[in-house]
Amino acid sequence: MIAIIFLGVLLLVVVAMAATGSMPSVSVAELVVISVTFGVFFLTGIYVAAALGALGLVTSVAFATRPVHLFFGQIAWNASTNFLLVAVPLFILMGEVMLRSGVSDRLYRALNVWVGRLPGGLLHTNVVSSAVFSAVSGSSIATAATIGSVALPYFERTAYPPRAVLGSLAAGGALGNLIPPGIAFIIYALLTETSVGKLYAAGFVAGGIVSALFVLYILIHGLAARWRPQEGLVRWAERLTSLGDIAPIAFLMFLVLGTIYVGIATPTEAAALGVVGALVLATAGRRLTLSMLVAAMRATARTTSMIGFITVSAFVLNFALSSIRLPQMLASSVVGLPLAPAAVMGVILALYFVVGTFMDAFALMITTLPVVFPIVTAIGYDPIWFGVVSVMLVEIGLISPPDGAVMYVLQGLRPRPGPITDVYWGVLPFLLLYLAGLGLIVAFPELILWLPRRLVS
Amino acid sequence: MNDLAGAGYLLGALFISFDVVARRFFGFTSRGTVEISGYLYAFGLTWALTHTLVTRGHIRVDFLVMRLPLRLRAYLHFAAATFMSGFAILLSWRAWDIVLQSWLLGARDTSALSIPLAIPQGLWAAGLTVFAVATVFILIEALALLLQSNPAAVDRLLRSPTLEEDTEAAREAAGTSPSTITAQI
Repeated sequence: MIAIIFLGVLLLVVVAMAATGSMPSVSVAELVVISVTFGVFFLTGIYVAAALGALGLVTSVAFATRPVHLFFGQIAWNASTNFLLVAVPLFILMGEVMLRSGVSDRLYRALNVWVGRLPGGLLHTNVVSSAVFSAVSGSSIATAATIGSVALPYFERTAYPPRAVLGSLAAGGALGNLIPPGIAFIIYALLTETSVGKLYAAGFVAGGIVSALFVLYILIHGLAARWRPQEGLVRWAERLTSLGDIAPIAFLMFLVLGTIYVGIATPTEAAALGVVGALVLATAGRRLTLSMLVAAMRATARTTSMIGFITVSAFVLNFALSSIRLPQMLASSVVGLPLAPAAVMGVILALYFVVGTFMDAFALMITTLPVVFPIVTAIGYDPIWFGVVSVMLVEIGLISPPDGAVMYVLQGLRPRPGPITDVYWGVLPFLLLYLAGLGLIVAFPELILWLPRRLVS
Repeated sequence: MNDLAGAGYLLGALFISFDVVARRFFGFTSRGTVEISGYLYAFGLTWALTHTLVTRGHIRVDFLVMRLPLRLRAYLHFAAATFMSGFAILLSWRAWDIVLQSWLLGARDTSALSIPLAIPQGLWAAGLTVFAVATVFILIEALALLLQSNPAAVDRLLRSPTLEEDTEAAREAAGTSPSTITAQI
């Protein structure tokens, strides 16, 4: 409900500004027709891809001076063969193989040896193992499903409150895209022509900040609530042997991220290496079977077609919009508004936050970035910074009640059923911490921008 | 078709990895990974569309739709299917257009193999066409059900899987039984 009201108010403001003539350079008719059609399509549940395509056709037929729709075939072909996009199915395939490889079980146990003694105990293990697993997975849902399926049985005979357990797992899952390699960054890089390497570096720092906030919170809460860590002292010998169980993941991290920064591989090539690495790990863990591989490939094909189809139609629409120079005009007229850039950014962030609670994360990024990104750069914000901020907002959407997908994955994994509200309440403090981390990064962009700058000097 | 698409991605991963290793350690490349993996992606993308359609996987914003009365919801499902069909037909028509052009011009890519572009483009367009045909069949079925005034059946045919169904899929995949978890984002 809040979402609808917010969008309604926003539309009213735009119309009012148009009516009073504060947006002189944009053709008001075009803007109103396109945005109203857009809104109607989405609210009535038209498939996102079809809505974008239809909008492209409307723009082309009604406003363009040349028959833009004749080029749709070529545009769609280009968007279907882009080498950067090839990274998307490869990262998904890698995640699907890892999910089924049994590596996460050993990772969880090994990390527990290291962090399980802190006040807050196993909850730290939840967050830390999710963060580590995120570094080999490009997907938040895969991260939550993988770590959740391993972790939840551990809590069966413990006194940890279920809310805190589920909340920490959901929060950990929401690091999946922020900590590289994330698919969301690939999509962002493609749509905005920014460097995947720089985005990953900035995302790495942002993911570190958010994880640190989570750990700090659990620590304080653990001290206050006197959650007892598990019994018994851990010997250093045990710690050292546990490193052997972390090694496979570390190897995969190097294969995927190391090769990008050392300069051996492009992001797409790194993703391909990651698939091979995941297959090797699954073989070593004796989990590689034909049926497992088929299931992973099938899931990959399905997810890729969902994302890819929207990408293709977004390129079609983008081409039509650019042919009437709408994004450029919109950007320049926003610059001309008597508003501070920070206010404009505030509206954009609020929009992402609100829409992210009910719209599919990829669909949100793909449909809005072509229009929003020119505005962001025109009012003087850093493209890498905005990439990280928008991915964080998308992740926050995934753990926002009532529709965040990550929460439902965990709900489905619970060994003993309970109300979904356990997950809602459990995730709430982490959601606020995530927002606090976002606030820090919005207030001090340098926090995340120093690393990409240093790496690519 | 969906399985072929998935196998294509695996093949692409192996091929690209081979090329990286070969370039790094043996100093040669196939001079064609970019093109060929792009073709595998294009092929996988369109060939999996139909399976995703039948399993109701295509993304739509339905938080409002699912709160409406059943009859109205059925009409909106039908409208969505109509748009999907229209777009699929337009796209596959345009796709064959460029296949024809590539064929008439005898266009080849710039990879070492210098593959005639009409071949990968044709495979890609074929996937789109099968998808378009499938959307038409679903549209006809939905129309028939609407005419029989059976909105509940239309809803079952076209609504997105509920979150409960999705979590069930997650549970199965994590339990390493063969299933289809959609680990999107």
